[in-house]
Amino acid sequence: MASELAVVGKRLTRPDVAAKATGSALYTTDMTLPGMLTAAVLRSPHAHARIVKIDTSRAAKLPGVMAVLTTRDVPDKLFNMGTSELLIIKKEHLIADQHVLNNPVRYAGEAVAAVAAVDEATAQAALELIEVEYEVLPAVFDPLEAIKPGAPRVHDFAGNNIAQHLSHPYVSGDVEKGFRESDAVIEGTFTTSKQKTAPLEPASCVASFDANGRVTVWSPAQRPFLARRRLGEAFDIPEGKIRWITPLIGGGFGNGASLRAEPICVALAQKTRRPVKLEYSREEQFVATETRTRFVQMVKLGVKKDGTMIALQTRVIADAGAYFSATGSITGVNMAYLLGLYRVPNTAGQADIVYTNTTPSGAVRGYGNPEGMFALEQVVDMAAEKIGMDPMELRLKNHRTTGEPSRSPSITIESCRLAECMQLGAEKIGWKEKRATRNKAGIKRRGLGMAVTTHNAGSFPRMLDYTNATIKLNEDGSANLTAGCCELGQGITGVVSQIAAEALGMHAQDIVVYAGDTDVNEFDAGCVGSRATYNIGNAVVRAASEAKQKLLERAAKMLEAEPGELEAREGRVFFKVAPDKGITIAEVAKDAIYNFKGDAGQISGHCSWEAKWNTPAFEAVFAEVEVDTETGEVRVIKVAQAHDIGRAINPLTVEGQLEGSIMQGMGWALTEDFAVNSKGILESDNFTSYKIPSSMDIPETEVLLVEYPIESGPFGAKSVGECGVNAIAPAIANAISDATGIRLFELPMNPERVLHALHRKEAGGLSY
Amino acid sequence: MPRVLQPFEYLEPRSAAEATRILADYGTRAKAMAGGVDLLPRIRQRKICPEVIVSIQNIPGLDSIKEERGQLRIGALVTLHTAELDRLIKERYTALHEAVHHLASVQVKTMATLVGNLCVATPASDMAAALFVLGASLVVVSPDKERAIPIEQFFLKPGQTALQPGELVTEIVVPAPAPDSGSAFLKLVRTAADIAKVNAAVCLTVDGDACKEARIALGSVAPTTIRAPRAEAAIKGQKLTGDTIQAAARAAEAESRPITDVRSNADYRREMSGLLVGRAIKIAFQRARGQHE
Ligand SMILES: Cc1cc2nc3c(=O)[nH]c(=O)nc-3n(C[C@H](O)[C@H](O)[C@H](O)COP(=O)(O)OP(=O)(O)OC[C@H]3O[C@@H](n4cnc5c(N)ncnc54)[C@H](O)[C@@H]3O)c2cc1C
Repeated sequence: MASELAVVGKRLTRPDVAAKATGSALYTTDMTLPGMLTAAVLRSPHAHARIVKIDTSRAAKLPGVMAVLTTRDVPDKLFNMGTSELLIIKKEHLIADQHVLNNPVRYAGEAVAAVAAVDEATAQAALELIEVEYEVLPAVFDPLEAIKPGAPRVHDFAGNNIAQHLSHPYVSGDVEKGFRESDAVIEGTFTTSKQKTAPLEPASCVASFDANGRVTVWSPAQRPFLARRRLGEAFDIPEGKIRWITPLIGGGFGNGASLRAEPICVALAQKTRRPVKLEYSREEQFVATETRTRFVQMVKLGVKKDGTMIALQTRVIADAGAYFSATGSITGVNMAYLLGLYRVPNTAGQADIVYTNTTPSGAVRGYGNPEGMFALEQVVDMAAEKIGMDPMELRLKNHRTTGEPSRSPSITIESCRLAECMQLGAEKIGWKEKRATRNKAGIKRRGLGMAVTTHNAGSFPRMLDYTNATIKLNEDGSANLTAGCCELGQGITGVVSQIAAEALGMHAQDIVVYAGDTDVNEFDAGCVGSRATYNIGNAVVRAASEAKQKLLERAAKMLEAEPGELEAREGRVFFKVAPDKGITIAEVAKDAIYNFKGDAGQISGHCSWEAKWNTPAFEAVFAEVEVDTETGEVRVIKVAQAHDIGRAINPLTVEGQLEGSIMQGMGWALTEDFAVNSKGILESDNFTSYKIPSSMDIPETEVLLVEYPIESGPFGAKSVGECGVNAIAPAIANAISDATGIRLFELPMNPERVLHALHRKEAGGLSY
Repeated sequence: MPRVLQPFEYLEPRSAAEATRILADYGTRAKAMAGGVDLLPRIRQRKICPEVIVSIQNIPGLDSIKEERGQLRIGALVTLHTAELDRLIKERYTALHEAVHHLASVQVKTMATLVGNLCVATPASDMAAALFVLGASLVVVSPDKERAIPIEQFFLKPGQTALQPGELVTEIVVPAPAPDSGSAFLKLVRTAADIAKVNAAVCLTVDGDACKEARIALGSVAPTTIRAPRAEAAIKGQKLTGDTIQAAARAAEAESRPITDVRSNADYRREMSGLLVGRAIKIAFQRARGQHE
């Protein structure tokens, strides 16, 4: 990139926002088809029950009811709602353990039957006419209870409810020896919660079979191609007979990485031979779509007096909930980050993935990494305290950096600017000054805490990370880009149009992006895993560069020049030596179509891109909190978050991702509680009972972009989608500890828990 | 959980008399609606299935806040948003202002009415706690009579008020605050827009350092909002010192009867009942003495 960038790095308005601001943006539920039916789902009131008898005759007779679906009507075939496993190169994580409708049902809120009717009121009324006789079975909700001998069995095949045991593949050295050689050994067990992401758009689906038996599915799935394959597997429909269209997605956060409403919707469309729409209510979105995984993590760290980390061991119990979904790969990722952030010669990691009678867990922003950081980054602070070292110094001394193995050891870290992130964040929060002067007496106490993290861009090399992009130029100088970039609100449409425009020499607003349609787009692995800017972006740069080459060749003919003498920028092709001499891209593109000289050849470019590298982003988070020691309330005063982004394709979009992460991380840290009662019934299934922070709760935030373009990313970009959420909760936990001397081992860190810990400390108990 | 409302008939009477006649005719099959903030979700969740909804939005004269003969009168259509901006309430009825101010978000405040909030009869009502200590009463009309219900007699149990079928609340009446009095309202929540885990309101009349009159109310810690008479007794006629305030706090703790639910647990609520009462006494005391925090 010889000259200055014209489009990349600019704070451009995203192409999707005008439609969203005016309400004209179209989502799955806006889809209506002639003759379309509405579906509704009957859900289990019991956490674990065998369906002894189900009588649907009264429901079926209700006028307007077109079909009632029970376990008898769904394919007798086990599948997995998650999609990640399809890409894992070593197949060890695969477990298929559910049907479209299951008997027994294994969590309260699981689908028992479904109805398709002429309208929603009729469908709802029909549900009330379905008579189910349940044999209630004993149930278990806590993963630590579930592994005890004699605990109720969730799946017959899983003894002690252990679905799978994982050993960390990249262990090194001898941990026991390492701990013996350490001057200080810190150990703690940390429990995280089943956070529910809160996309504005609940799960929904429209499915329609055509006369030839081909089905079109509209759904806010984040991975249309993999969702199509999963659906095909469940129904024995070949991929080519399914057209999957992902329209605009009303918020993803990983929730759309698994199948949700689609299997039931498709089953009903198949049965009725009419288009069917199934839209989850907010309560269904809470109870019947996947949650963050609850992890119980024992983390043990050994350090030398000088702060050198010697040994690190994790033992993890992962609560899969009632079905396995993606919990295997999430747990693998959790271990990889727990053991892969710092340079430690002796490491070991073990995990058990356990079934419980609760809503299944699955992909959620961070995918096991925030859970690991909640534990690890507190243990690091505890170690710093024990050896009397500044927690930042300890991190600076031990974190892996440029040239060292990343959390996937076969990949060397291309560029790590974590030290700079730490220094910048520390400066903005006033780390040194405030920690020296903070008020540690009185009722309201202030504290500062920090945490660091890293996150990959996509899943290479553990998984296949493959994508395609095609761009074509229209005669007016605009271009159509088809790529894998589903717009879930993260701003990827704008990002790829800026990348394509830069690479082609066009204006970003002249790029029209199309994504999410399996009949039109080529394969892509989906908008998950912080992969889109880095991997899809890499494909887009190359497709656009190919088109640019053709553009320059044709322009050269028109200008009677050599292609090498020309450059394209901001919609024009011109002579490098005489920039005001040239023609518009529109003129060249028009000549390629309306040629009339026997030399037509529409300008296009294509790239089929398989990730060959994976450069992680790094980040440092600093939080300042005020703890009311009488009420246990924690007020987050300020968060400074410095992110090693490589290059921000659009700084506004990156900042938006990070600010959203702060909120989501704060909610997980402090207030969000997936509360299940003693019978396994979810009590927090709406936004009155399940509290996410709102604009009224946001603290002062300072989002800092540390930009050092890297070789392997498009125009030097790294990823940002998930990283931002990883280190918020531990930074807050460390700040609480700094303010009060208490340690919190369980999420959420609500006032009840804070006060309890404060009382214990006062009573002379251990501070932790 | 259904997404659609069951069908119902929707009526918009033009006078309170007409509204009460309709409500009396349909009895329990009809429901009055003000802002609909509470009513509509309840219908969607099938907790209630009214056949007729009687909107009171078109009844004239219910949307004003005025001071008449020393009394503050808040009409049944006054929204939380309007009340929040009212200078009179802010200056003289501080506990009520604070209760309104800290309630939910601007979206809710724009729709929700104060009277509707009371008629929901949730034990967590912030309005109720503030109005308890300010000694409010409700003006209630029916086809054939009008009566006043002191607010402390308005709530029977969660979700149930003293209203009879056919009765409509038209106004909240709050007596003028006594000279040398001050009030305060505090609550504990999970996020800014949340229903209280515990709320507490205090209104004191003072004479120098001594407390002449004390009214203390607690919400979310019993089946209805409650007064805390023993906490009041602990400071009434006493000098307000750390010790007497502490005694009141401890009494309030003992008077609370909280439960564990999704918002908090009983132990925490009990402890916080005392704490909030203690804190609110201190603030109200300063206000009564004309000092500002
Ligand atoms: C997100 C959210 C947060 C909230 N947070 C709080 C909070 O922090 N603290 C708090 O106290 N409340 C809170 N609320 C409750 C809210 O204040 C009440 O739901 C609202 O004030 C009800 O007023 P409305 O006018 O909408 O009543 P409606 O929904 O119209 O009516 C509610 C009930 O009162 C009856 N009713 C209404 N007007 C009359 C009348 N004039 N005469 C007789 N009956 C009548 C109706 O029949 C119905 O049964 C919250 C609500 C929401 C949605």
